[in-house]
Amino acid sequence: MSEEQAGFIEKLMDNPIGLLVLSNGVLLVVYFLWGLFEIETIAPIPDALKAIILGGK
Amino acid sequence: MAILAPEKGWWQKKVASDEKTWIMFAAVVALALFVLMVGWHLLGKQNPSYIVYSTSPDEFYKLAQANWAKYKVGEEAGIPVVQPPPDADVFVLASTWKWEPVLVLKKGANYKFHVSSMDLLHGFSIQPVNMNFAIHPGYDYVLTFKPTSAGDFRLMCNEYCGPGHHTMIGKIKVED
Repeated sequence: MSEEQAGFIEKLMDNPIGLLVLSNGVLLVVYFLWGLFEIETIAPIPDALKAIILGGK
Repeated sequence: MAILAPEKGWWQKKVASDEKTWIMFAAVVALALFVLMVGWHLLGKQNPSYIVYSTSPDEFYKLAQANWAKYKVGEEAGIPVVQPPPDADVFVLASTWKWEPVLVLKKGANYKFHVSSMDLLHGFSIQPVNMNFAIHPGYDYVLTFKPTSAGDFRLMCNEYCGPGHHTMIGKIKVED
């Protein structure tokens, strides 16, 4: 089991194009999902703040 | 990437002690840089505030109008001149191709800027202090702001926003 795993990692380490694609691909996916999460979780302006602003002098 | 491929069977070979030392050294440097980056991000005073609210151009415009009506002291070329008291919320609105309002602020006082765009991406750039912030429509960016020197400052758009981009210049007056 451990030998099979080592074989896969060894193959990956010997594949510079695979490493290049993987290292860019991981960041691309992670940052894309992070960005979506950040945008989706932005709260609207709180009602209390709106009331203060619109509340006159 | 090495120029030559490693010898066959390199995976099974033991790592030499000098190589281990270099790997450890590189790991420690990488870790230290990571800690420094996160630490400086949290402790350094160079970062703008993290408060952002979602809004709509219509809602922000309504809030800005109410805010300006409260603190308006005059008008310059059709643009309201607003003098908010210290610690007040200050609404700044970017649209093609103008900044509203003209602000009159007090040196050393704190203000809470709410900045948004009515139409497209603009760049909120205070010159000559070189404070920059990207402003997208649909979001209320809340920036805490404390002018530390008196004088006239220019508010420039530093994201190209069309043929009138270069004329998009606002004004902030800071009084002693």
